[in-house]
Amino acid sequence: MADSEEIMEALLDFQNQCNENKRLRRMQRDWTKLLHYVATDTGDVFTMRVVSGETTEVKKGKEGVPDVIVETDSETLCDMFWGDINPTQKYLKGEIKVKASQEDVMRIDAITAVIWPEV
Amino acid sequence: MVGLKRAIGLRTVVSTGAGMALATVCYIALVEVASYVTGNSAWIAILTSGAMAVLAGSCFAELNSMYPTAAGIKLYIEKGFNERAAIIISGVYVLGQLSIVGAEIYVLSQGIAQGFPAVSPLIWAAVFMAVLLYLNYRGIRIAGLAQDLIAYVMFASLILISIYGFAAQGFHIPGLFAIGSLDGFIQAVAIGITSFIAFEWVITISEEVTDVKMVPRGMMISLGVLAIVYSLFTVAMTSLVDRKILDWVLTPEGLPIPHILYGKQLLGGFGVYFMILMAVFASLTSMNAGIMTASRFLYAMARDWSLPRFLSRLHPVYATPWAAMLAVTAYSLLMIAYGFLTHYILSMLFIIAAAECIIYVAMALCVIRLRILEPRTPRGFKIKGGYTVPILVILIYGIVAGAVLFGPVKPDDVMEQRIALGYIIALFLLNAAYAYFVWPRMRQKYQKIAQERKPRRRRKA
Repeated sequence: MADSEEIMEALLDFQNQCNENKRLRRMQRDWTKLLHYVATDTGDVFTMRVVSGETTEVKKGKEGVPDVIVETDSETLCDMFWGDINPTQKYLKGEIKVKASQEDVMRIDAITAVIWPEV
Repeated sequence: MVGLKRAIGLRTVVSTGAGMALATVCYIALVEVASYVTGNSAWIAILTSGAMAVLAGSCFAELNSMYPTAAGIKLYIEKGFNERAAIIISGVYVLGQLSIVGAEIYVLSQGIAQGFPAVSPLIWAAVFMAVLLYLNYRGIRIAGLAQDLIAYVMFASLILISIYGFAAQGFHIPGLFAIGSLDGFIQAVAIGITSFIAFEWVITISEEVTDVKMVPRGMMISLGVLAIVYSLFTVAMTSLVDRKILDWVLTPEGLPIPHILYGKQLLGGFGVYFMILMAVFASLTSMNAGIMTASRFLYAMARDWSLPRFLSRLHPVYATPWAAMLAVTAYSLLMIAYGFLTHYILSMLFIIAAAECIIYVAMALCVIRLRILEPRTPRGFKIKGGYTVPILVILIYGIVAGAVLFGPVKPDDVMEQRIALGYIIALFLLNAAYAYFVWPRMRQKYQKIAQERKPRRRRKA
């Protein structure tokens, strides 16, 4: 089980990876969304704000009404932010649940596909 | 409750489920249904098909309430059985269902050419395919309010034009209960299933609804709406248009445009353009969603290391899976070419019906298996009556699949039935060969690449 500090550290690294990737920034340039990441085993919730493809804010706690909700256990959440797992495989096995429009589901998968294409 | 900023309500669930199922090729399927019964009793076969679809829909609903995900079908089979079975069955299902693109574009383009005869149907097919390709390339999905408007306008229009057809005949419709032979009726019901196909695709929006219980409810309502619309329109069509003309429509030499002929007979030139508009709406909504769903399925499979990695390539600006989309388009073009070259529309309907029956049986088996394997997984919707409904679905759709592929058909349809049987067997063999010989090696290769990468996570001591 990953604690909230571990997840936050991973999320901050994820934010950097997203913002530093030019290809991703170009791809997501018209994507402005509020995302909630929920660790189902610890109950921790993290908010991530993306404005025109730039991840402008990540913080612990639930803020605003989200466009996307990603739910999984804390370990998977942590590994996912570090890029150590293939989130699509977890999603197809029902271990990651996403509540969002089909377009947004595609977009959040695109993030990891672009940042860590080898995973 | 999901609590998303933009969540879908029941109205859109119904319009999506019914809108995806209502395609232009359904008119041909409905006339084919009518050709296997006597009089104007096709509505009985259609309602029976609809009731059977409700049974199958309830299996989807239970599984979806356990795992409300767009990746549903593969996930359910994998959970219930194993990944290899999931790859084989979902592969047969997706490729079998995509046959509808060939039939749909062929029927639509022939219809449009009736209103605009100066332009060849081939050109209309190319234009329509280009529009679909562009929408999918840009990731534009007809959804939400646009989907609602198109779907409800279509349903209301079809009901009104049917009632007007009855009125034109003084509401005197002969032979409403003359079913004819039992063999013919079973075949009619089997073909009737093709009119309801894709209603289950409504599960692809289960991640964006305000309440997951809405999906099963919406699915059932959409089936009811479809059954009513189809029944009314078919009876109106078969009672107004000369039976010999409708029989000609079904032959490879005939034009697959019964809806246009009905519109023309009832409303003259206006009726032709009105029915063309209805057909364009129907094709646009069902094909847009169908091609998009299929390409995203291929993309997800490629990301899952179940298909070659190049299929997971994304467009640098629109984030659409262009490689998977091209693969789907190439396959669709083959099916369209088959439609134009052979005019064997019925063979495609047989393929789709068989693929649907296979997936319904698979879903019913998954319901039973998952009740045994995962009795504690929460279910927002559970079919009442124990295993009765899943067993009924297995029996009914097993028989219907047998009737579609092996059952007695009209002498003119024998060749098309054989083509469908051969195609379904080929799909099974192809997918099984892939799952047994290609997929394990490919996954191993990708796994090795991923394992060679040093984990980035800094774990606490």
